[in-house]
Amino acid sequence: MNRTFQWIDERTGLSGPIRAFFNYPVPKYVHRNFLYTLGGLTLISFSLQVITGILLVFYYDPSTEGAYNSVDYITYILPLGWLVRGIHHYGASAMVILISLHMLRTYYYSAYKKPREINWLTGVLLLFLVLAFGFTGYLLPWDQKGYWATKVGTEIAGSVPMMGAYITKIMRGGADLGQATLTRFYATHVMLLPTAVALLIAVHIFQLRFHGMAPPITERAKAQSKKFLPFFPYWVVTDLIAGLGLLALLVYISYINRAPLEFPADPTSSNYLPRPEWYFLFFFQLLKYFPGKLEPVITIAIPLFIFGSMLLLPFIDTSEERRPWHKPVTTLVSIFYIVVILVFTYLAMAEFG
Amino acid sequence: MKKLSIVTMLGLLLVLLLAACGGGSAEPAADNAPASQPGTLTAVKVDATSLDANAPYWANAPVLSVDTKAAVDGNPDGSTVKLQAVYDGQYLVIRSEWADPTESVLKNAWTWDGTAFTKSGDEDRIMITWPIGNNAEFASKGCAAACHNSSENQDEWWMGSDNANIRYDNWHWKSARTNPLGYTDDQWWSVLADPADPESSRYGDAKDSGGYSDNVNEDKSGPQYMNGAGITGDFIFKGDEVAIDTAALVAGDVIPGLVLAKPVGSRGDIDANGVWINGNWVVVQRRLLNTGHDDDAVFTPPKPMPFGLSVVDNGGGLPHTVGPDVLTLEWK
Repeated sequence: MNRTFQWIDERTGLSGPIRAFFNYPVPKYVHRNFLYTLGGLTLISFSLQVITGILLVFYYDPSTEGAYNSVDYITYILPLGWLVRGIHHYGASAMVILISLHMLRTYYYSAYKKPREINWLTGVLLLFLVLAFGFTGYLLPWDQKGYWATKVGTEIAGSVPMMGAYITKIMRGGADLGQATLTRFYATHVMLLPTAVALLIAVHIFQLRFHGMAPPITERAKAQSKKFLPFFPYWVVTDLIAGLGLLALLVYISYINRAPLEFPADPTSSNYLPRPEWYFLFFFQLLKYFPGKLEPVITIAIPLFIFGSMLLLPFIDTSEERRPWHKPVTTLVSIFYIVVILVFTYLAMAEFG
Repeated sequence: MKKLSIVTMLGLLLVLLLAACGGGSAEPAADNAPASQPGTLTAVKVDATSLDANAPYWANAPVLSVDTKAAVDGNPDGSTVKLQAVYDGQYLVIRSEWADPTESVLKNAWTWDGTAFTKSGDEDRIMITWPIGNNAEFASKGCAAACHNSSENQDEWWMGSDNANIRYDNWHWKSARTNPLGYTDDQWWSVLADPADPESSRYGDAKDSGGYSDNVNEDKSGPQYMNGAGITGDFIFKGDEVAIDTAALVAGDVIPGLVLAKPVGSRGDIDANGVWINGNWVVVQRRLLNTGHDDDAVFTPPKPMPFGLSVVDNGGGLPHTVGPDVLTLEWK
């Protein structure tokens, strides 16, 4: 076996970088700390999405005639198909939750500050791409829920001043939802987005390794900041245990509550009430308070403001202070956003039952 | 003391008798069942199913009440049908109950007046329609898409699907023609074969043998057979029929208009048990989740299934009343 590895190493020179990767010193204060597993868990959930996504692609038919039947087959007939689809479906939600928590941890620990601006920026872009994953994946079963949510979603994009109609047409591949829309969403979901996310994750991890962990903010952590443990096995094992817990949770949820599949899309349906995935509900609810000409406030101005302020955050907050309890403005702003999202999500859920 | 013992014994006896009487007059289990979500029939998993309308498990199966409306403008609305469903590893069972003041089981019966026959009578029915395969329009619009199409103008209704690839499984329970032999007529809908005949989109499932046939002579003036097992019976079962002998009849005798036989094959694969009691029909229908027949809908729990419902009170196919909304079968 050693001779085999030696043969490979002589020709690739990989043993050095691999050893360096696994022996990377990690501050002891992050060991077995749940808050520091959130990034690894997000990566694990992305990996689960890739694995289950590849399995689903073997059976999925990306045509308006066949999409629903293929997802129906996966869900109700294919052995363990319900499990694979369930992990993929609920895993998408898990990824949104985990990346959001990971970003909140980064935010409250001020880990976006110099010299880690690029790491923060890649994180913001990854959040955007994860939401795009959810939006494009929603349509693929071609059921009532996905169809009408996408119809509304693309109409919202159409409210952009000047370019709205053009954007909607690009997204749909025509005037209305049809085969071109499904093809575009499918290609984006299984090719463009995974590639973009994988590249950004690589940059994100490289940046993390380049700069190391952000300085601790608590006195207890600071006391341990000079003590290090190797990445493997300590952090890897912790993340793997957390990852197995996540997988077990996804399996359990998939078992007790099959991934939903509504009836097939009927474009002529006149009484279907469109509703998006839960993480877009607050946005959907907010739209109701800004009807007509005010709609672009919600559809354009607020998303641009939120994502814009997130992107500019490291360049706005340049102070040395990292402790959130000494930074009332940034802390209160984040709490305000969280409360708004929770309240409007609750209102929407109460309305949809 | 002795007197007291006798009184005590009598008291105990009375209590036991009351308890026994109370047990006999207890309301059916279904009467205590919880209400279902609107438009949703929830099938409850049980260990084993049967055709017993009073099986204990009905107490736990949610009741979906469907107010049936006239399918054709101007006709009266129909009864409220109470639906329940249970399933086991093999079978789906649906219990339906609706008010019907008359038990109609003599369809096309022949009445002898001493010199000639006159034909009269019809039957009660309930139909449950399921899509065969996934069907977006039916799931969204229900029976309006299946047999009445989507036009709001009734003159444009064609009572059939848009093309031959769109098919529906129709469980057509009939009080006179199928219930006496404990089955439901298993049929399917598709395109209208004859535009002049609104029922020409309805086909019987495949069968090897059996099925009911009209009891009518060649010149259609009277019955061909009478019941060899007893002239006054409401039904003639295949094998009991003998050639009509008017000499054996007295004025007022009624001869059933049908000779009944249970079909062998897909057409007869829905078992049924219908009982008319106290002005109500209680019908229990049971079918394999998957019969393996091409002309049957397949149930794969927990996949929800849309369905439609219609009821006929002593009539033909057209004056039926329908559940106006899309109904959905879900599994618990």
